[in-house]
Amino acid sequence: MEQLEHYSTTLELGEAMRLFRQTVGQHLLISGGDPDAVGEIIVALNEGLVNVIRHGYRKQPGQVELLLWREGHTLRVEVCDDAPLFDPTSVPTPDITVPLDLRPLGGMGVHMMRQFVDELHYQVTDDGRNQLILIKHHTFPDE
Amino acid sequence: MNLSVEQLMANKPVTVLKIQGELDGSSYQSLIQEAQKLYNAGTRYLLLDLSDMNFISSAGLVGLHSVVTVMRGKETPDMEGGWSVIHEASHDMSTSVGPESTCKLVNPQPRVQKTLSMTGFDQLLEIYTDRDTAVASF
Repeated sequence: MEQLEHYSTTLELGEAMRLFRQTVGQHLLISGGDPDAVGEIIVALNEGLVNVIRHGYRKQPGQVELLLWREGHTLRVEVCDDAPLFDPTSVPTPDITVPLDLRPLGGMGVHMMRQFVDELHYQVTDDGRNQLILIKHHTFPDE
Repeated sequence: MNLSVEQLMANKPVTVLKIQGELDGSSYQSLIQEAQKLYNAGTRYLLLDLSDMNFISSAGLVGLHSVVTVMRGKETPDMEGGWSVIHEASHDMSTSVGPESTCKLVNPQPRVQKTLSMTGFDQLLEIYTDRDTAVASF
């Protein structure tokens, strides 16, 4: 598995988030990522990062570590943060056939993450941090 | 994100609000404010042109739904309302007769269309692929 990039940054909501996801997206494109696949992983990543800042850090700027890995055609994205431990994959999948006003609060961002990646995993790292892993196959057309 | 406004006359006076760029947590409030401004100025039929909108997040979805709330003559939603805003707007729609008639969408890009579909928004709002047809549908 080849490491493409390692970001360690203090992130906050708003313009900083927009610029960060654009930076990551550009890097993936330069690395040979398929534009449609990169666009989808960026949507998913954005939801993950927003959740970390909005809920984990309670809308305050917070430290985020992001690693991009490539294995063949597959992209693996790891997001680590120091916010209180929380497993976003435990959020129930909303039933979009139910009228929206009957749905439970929240969950759409995680739902979008699940839809735009092939695998979504959560674990606690050895040093006690949140780690969210997003995997998207067929991101890189050519090895 | 940039917004541009065009007034058209078809069966009814229709305001076309074109969204260019990214509709996300840093921009959705501007969209809601523009919709409120248009409503206050008399707009009652709003077409959101999404042809140049290349990104939408879950916050952007809240923005779209908030626009529907505004176009229904409700107060500008609480910007921190999140899903409660969606609940409010969808409750309005679910209790109305027929599909949403005051706000429609045209020309979402494929990834935006996918987001609208996967979240059920394509069942709440009419989505057109042709602007003239969309304008004439009001």
